[in-house]
Amino acid sequence: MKKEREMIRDWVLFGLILIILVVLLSIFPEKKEAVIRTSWKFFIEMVWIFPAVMIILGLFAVWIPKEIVVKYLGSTSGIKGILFAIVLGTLPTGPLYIAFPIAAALLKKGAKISNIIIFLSAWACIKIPQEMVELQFLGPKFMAIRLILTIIFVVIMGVFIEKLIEWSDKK
Amino acid sequence: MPPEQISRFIGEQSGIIGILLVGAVGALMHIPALLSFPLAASLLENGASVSAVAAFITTLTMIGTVTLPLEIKELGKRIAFLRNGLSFIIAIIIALIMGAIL
Repeated sequence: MKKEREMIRDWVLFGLILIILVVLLSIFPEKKEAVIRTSWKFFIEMVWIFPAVMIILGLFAVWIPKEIVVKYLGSTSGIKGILFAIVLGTLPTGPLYIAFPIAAALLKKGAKISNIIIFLSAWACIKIPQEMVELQFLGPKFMAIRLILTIIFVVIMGVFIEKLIEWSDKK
Repeated sequence: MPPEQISRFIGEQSGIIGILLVGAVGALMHIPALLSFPLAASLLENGASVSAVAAFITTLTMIGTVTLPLEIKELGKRIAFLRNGLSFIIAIIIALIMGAIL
């Protein structure tokens, strides 16, 4: 029943967005081509990426035992877990939204919430090619300081969110 | 956009309002991070403050308003809202520290 309601909600949302799109396009007809081009680009990106992510997640679910996730990212993983989460988020390339199902799968297998937040943030903004481009355009000082501050604050945020969620679960 | 306008909205004298404004724009936009750096560099050249540019890049990469429904579906409302909301706050803090250092 819940699934069905969610599906109806998704379709209603989709319909609403379509209506907004039609209204906006009739106000700004000259933007039509750019809108269609961008939407198509994102659509193709999703079509290419999502099946691959699903397959990797399927393999992950079957092949990676829970103990390994708990050991490296679980509640007793400590500093090592934080470092592991950063590395895990830094290495792959791809848009942030493909990290969400991966993060959900890791959570289900026993990873700590703080490490998941750190993993997502690392995926979002600590990428080697990204840092190289930042270095090129904004200089070594800007890039290095922003990188260091980002790592520090992301770790603080991860721990803070975990404490908040644990606290609200206890209540 | 003319440089005078850029520096009026997000230059040194625009203060915290300018940083919050450009941080919000970064949070709403959905463009690849790699494209944000040349954009950020040209904003800097045209009179934007270091803090504003740092806030823009950080919220742009960390916060996804467009992908929020997907994040909620996969990780739940609490994690999604907390992550995006707190990311905005730390982006502003990082921006202010960078403005003070550089």
